[in-house]
Amino acid sequence: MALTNVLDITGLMLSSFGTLVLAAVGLAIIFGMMRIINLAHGEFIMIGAYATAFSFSAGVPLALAIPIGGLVTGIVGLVLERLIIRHLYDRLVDSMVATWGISLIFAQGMLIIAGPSFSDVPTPLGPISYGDFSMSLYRVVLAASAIGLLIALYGIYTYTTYGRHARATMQDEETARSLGVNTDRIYMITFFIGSVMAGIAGGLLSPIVSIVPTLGQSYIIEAFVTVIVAGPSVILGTILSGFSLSVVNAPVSQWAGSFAGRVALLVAAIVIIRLLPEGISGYWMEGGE
Amino acid sequence: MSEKKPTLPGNEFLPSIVVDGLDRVFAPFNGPNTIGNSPIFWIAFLLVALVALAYPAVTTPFRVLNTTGYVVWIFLALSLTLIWGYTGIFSFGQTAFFGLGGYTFGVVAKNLVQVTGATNLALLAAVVLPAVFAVVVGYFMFYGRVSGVYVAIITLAVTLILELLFGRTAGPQYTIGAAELGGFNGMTNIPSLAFGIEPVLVELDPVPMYYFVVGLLIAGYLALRYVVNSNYGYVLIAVRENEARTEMFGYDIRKIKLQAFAIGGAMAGLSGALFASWNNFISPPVMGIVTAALPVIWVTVGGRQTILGAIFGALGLQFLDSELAAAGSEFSVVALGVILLGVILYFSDGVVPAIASRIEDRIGSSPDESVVLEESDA
Amino acid sequence: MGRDNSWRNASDATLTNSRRRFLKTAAGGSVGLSAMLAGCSGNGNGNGGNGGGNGGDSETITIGDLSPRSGPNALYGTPMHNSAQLAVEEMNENGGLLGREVELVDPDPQSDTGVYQEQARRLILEDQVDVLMGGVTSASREAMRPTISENQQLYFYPALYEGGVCDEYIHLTGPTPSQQMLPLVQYMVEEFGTEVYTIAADYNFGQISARWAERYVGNEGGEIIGEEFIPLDVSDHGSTINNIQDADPDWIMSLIVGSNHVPFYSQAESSGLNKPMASTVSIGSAYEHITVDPPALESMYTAWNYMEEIPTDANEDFVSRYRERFPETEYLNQHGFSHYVSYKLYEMAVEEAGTVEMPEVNDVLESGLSISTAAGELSLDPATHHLSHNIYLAEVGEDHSINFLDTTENVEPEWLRERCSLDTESTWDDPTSEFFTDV
Repeated sequence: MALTNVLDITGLMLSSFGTLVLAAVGLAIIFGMMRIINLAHGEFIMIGAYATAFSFSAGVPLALAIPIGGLVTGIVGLVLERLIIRHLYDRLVDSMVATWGISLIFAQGMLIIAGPSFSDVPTPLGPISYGDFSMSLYRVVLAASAIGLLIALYGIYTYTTYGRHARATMQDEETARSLGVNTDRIYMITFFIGSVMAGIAGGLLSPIVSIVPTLGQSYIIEAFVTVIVAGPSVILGTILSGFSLSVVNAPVSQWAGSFAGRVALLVAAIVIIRLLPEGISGYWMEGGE
Repeated sequence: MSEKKPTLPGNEFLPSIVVDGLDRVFAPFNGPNTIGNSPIFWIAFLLVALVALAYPAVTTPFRVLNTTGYVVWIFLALSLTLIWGYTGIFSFGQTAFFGLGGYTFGVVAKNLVQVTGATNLALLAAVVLPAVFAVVVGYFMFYGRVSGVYVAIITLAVTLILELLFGRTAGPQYTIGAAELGGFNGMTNIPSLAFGIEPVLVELDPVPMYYFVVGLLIAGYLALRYVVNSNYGYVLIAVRENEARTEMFGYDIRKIKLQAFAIGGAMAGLSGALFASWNNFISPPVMGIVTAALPVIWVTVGGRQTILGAIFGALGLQFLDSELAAAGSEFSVVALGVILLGVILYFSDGVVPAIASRIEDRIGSSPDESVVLEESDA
Repeated sequence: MGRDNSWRNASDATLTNSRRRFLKTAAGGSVGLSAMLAGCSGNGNGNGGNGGGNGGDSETITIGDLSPRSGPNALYGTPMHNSAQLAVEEMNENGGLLGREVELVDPDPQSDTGVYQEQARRLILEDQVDVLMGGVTSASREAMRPTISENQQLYFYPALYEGGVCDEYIHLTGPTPSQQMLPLVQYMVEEFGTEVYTIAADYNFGQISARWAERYVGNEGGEIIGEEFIPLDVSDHGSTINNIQDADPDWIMSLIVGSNHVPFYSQAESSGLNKPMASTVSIGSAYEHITVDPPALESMYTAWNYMEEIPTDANEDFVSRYRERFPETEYLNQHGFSHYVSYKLYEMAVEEAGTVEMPEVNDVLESGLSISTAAGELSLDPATHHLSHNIYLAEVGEDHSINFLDTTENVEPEWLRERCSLDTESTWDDPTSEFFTDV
């Protein structure tokens, strides 16, 4: 009994961690590297989920439909960056209001195009059993994919030319530009990557949500809280932040219900920021330097 | 008075006695921290005030009622202008104080109205309680050196927690005296504003309520102008511009931020109380993320660092929203999004400052602008 | 009809409060201006046409309709809006009401209580509609209620809701859990056992419905062995599923609501939770059996006043008319049906009253009207202003097809009748307005 309880909570934590990190990762890149607060981030996730669900219902296997969701969202992001976002660099708050406008347009646009609901994607893989109990194997897959995405990002930002240029631009844009880095292009690619990540997250989450135009709204708060609690380091911060918040959220939800879990998550975010005013990774980076 | 009066050009169109008179009367409210310091501006101000007073006589009851509602929300926008536009505290959760004010008013008024018939104390409580709550939240943040976007997340989390908690209060067990909190469905039958004590009662029906909130708005506008153009206002702006430098001048910026935040909380609470009494109803979504974003959008669109920006941003966007909803088209929401985008891309500092500078250009393109300024300095 | 019409003789001034009087008289005084302003402000409802009219004297009859077509409740509001259009078009094709054309004024309340309130004010004060229709959540209805009672506005609310409204001006055409629950719980206890786990949305509707479940399960000799309330914005139901597995009930009473809760079914399936489920919320309103991939809803049992699948000739006719007009319809749900019934009831009452004057129409509505609908013969209870419903008990199959098991006819709003008697204790000018929240 005790063991199954531990397994229950572990499963919940994995799923909570996976959801938080997936919801946050695209936002973390765009906010962390470009100082753009993308309030349309939830709608990017929604577009990824729709593209995935649409491909899936057209007969594409889920494993392929998810990257398609990422790509479609990436292209949408790229177009937006060229048309709108690039005018908003260095205008943190303006970017918020503009992307709020974009989120209204996307959510309502999707409603007009696809109607108030779309057929759901079934959850793949089925249950795994332990004793009398069982849980969805897909929860493990979600958490693993979340970590996989972060590792991929780590690779991109450590080993590619773009990644080095991007980090240079982030640290000191003018110097980077004077050394021949095309910072405009760097921003464009960064926004594209952030959008792809949001789209892939939407694809991965699509089997466990209702495919409705407002689905992004349920992720925007969690995404924001995770990103801000993470602090300045995008990858390490997101992992730590997702971990700390799910460690609080999962057991409280299990023992005291989803409502208490929800409140506990928000309270945990408040307390962490109060104790570490630069976010979790801000504390670590200070220690490291 | 030894106070600086940097008047704008354009005064040559007016008789000097009018210029002097207006300068003298409005001197306490003039200064470089607000838009519109010229006699022409103040004449326009008086004209707008007159139009606002005459409005109920020339329009429909629906418009009066609705405009009252718009004005009620302006106080929420103003609270954000003070703490964010002038002091640099980016609160994404002013609705926490708004909601608390509204619920406080509801609870106190419902209980009190049975005793005295009036709601004076309810209004007071609905300003004081949110202010106290703001002190608690502010102390927690500022004395922990939380700043910037981290403040936004804490305040957002606070308002969302309140929304969740109030949403949980369904059922008769959540009753305070005569007031049932009502859960997600909201608290109904909140009394309208009424002043005095039985038997001398003044109940604010739609038109008196309109005059009450418009009067309050004019008073609030002037008071805010006075504050931001005073020495205290300069300190607020110094905190916004550079916290470290202000601190080195010997100011305790934590205390200053806390004070501004508390005043902002009181104003948001007032807004919530007026809302609850005007509406006779309040429900938890007023503390949700959608409502929390509204004042940020209004203030940004109108012009964050101006008081007029908050007023016109809130007024204009609420009006737009209502008309688009009434049109009933499925493209209404899309249109609102497009308009927001357009405004942000076209006016980088907000609509009101852009219009103001255009007016200044028009009137004051004469070469002796600098002379005028120097003269008035002397 | 046959009502005590003494309100006509009573002195209005003593009964109406001063605020209401202001609104009424002022409204009469500046109608011309109102129309002008409405025209100026780009109000695109075409209400310039009825601008000259006022109250019941105009040529056209205006119906104000608040069905959300954007935001999270668009799922319910869109079928409602379709029904409204269909009903009005049918009225006009048949020569209108009392020989007058019927006009639909239909702002979009955007699933936002603030917009509901504002648009309700606009419809009542500015457009002076003859009747107000719509609203989805109880929150939206309660938000509009102060304006409705202050201005003495006849109003129809179509949605499934927790029950408890007792109001002279309001008629409610949707079902309440107290009507749906009895046949459902009886069947479940008999078929599957006495131990029940309730999951419900964490707000008024879910909480009160859960109390009903507890009462009916207790009456049948069953027991609630676990109960969990899920906030509306929670979409990961892992902890709930764990808890249900822990408790191991005979069946689950599902009272979950909204798009974040729907994934519970597929999450439960992929977690290997295979319990029979009963619901008075799912299937009939958000058509989960169509949006959720089979077989997640296999062995779900549900009881509704209406489902699109009801196999009667009257319903086939209704569905085909509806689908011909709106071919892209995903599902014709309870909201769409009950909203249509609201319009039909109003049509009947106006024809019988011979006027659109609201007190007189209300008198007819309070006279025990019966109406034949796609879901059979329904009657409007004079004491509570709620409809009696025929409750269809149905089972969802492995392929998510609907199999009807039983029909309980004429289930009356009895619980509310114990404390609500609008027919004897309430008149148009001395109205009762209460909302009972205790079960």
